[in-house]
Amino acid sequence: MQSIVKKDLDLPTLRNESSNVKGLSHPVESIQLDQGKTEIKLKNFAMKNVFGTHMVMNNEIEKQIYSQFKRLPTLQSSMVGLETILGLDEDFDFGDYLCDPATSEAPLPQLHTSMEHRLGMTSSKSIL
Amino acid sequence: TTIVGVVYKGGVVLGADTRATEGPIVADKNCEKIHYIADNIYCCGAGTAADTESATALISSKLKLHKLSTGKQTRVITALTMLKQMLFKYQGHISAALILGGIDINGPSLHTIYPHGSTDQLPYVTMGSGSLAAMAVFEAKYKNDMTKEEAIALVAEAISSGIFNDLGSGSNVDVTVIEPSGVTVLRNYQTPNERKFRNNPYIFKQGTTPVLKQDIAPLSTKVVIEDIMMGQ
Repeated sequence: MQSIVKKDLDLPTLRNESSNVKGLSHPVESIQLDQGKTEIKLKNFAMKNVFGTHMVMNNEIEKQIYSQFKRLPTLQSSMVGLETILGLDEDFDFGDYLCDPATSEAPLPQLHTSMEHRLGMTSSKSIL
Repeated sequence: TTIVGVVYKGGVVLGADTRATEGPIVADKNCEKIHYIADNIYCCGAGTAADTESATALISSKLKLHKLSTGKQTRVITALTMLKQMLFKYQGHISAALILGGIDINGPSLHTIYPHGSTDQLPYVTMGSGSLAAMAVFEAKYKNDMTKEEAIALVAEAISSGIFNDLGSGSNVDVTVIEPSGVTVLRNYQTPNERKFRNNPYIFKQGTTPVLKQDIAPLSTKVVIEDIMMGQ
C-alpha cells in the first residue's frame, strides 16, 4: 500500500518582529505590540493544511471587508461584524477591563483636532 | 506556598496552605489560594498572588461566556488549554504556577500548569515552594482508588508537611473536594497554628480623654441652597 506523506510542512516563521524594537521599557511590551500576530500565523498554518490555501485567503478577504466600516475620527468604531467573524464577541481579555479609553481620566481628543492632525495641518507634538 | 491535588475514586481533592509572603515578610496569615474556575472546576495558585488571582478570574469569565454560548458543562481540558495558551503568550511574565482539578464528562482529572505554559496530567501533584515537602508525603503514602476520607487526610498531611517544613508556607490547611454531586469547600479545614497567647484588649472607660472644648456648628451654616432654572 502506498501512502502519500507530505514531508515539507512549510512551517511558518514564528518571530515576534516587535522584539527587536529599541526603547521598549519591558519585554511584555513587545508581546503587546505583536497583537497576536504569532497566534494568527499558527492558526492560518493549521487552516491551510486542513482546508487548503483558499480558506485562508477567503477569511482574509472577509476580514478586510468587515474592517472597512468605520465611524468618524475620535469616535471609536464598534466593529461588530469583524468581532463576530473573529469570535471576539464571545471572548474576554485583560484589554476589556484594563485601560479602557472610555473610563480614562484624560478627555478624548476633539474631532477637529484629530482631523487636522491626520491631514498634517498641525504638528503632533503637544505645546505643553 | 504549598498547593497539592489528588485524584481519588470518583473525585478530586485540592489542598493549599494560607500564607502569603512579601520577601521575608508574612503579608497575610490566612489568604485563599484555591480559586473558583467553574462549578465543576477549581484551581490552586502559587507564584505572584495578583497574577494567579487575575489569571484564574479571567479564565473563569472566559469559560462562563463559553458556557453561555455552548450551553454545555465546562470541560477541564478547555480551562487547561485557555490557561496554558495565555501563559505561553506572556512567555512566563505572568508568574502563575497552577494546579487545575475538576470533573467533567471524562471523569475526574488533575493537571499542573507551569508559568511558561507547559502542563502535565498526573494522579497526584504538588506545586509551590513547599512542593518537595508535600511530594515526599505523596510518594510515601499515595494509593490508587482511595476513598474520599483517605484522600482528604492525605492532602491535609501533605499540606501540613509544607506548613511545618517550608518557610514559604504556613498557617492553615484549606481543602476543596470536587465530586460528581458537587463541590465542598473546606476553608480552614485544619488550623494547627492558632495563637497561644494574645494580649487582653485595651478597654478605656468613657471620659478617659477629657473634653476641653465643644463646638457644634448647625448644618444650615455649611449648606447653600440655590434654585436653578431648568432649560436655560
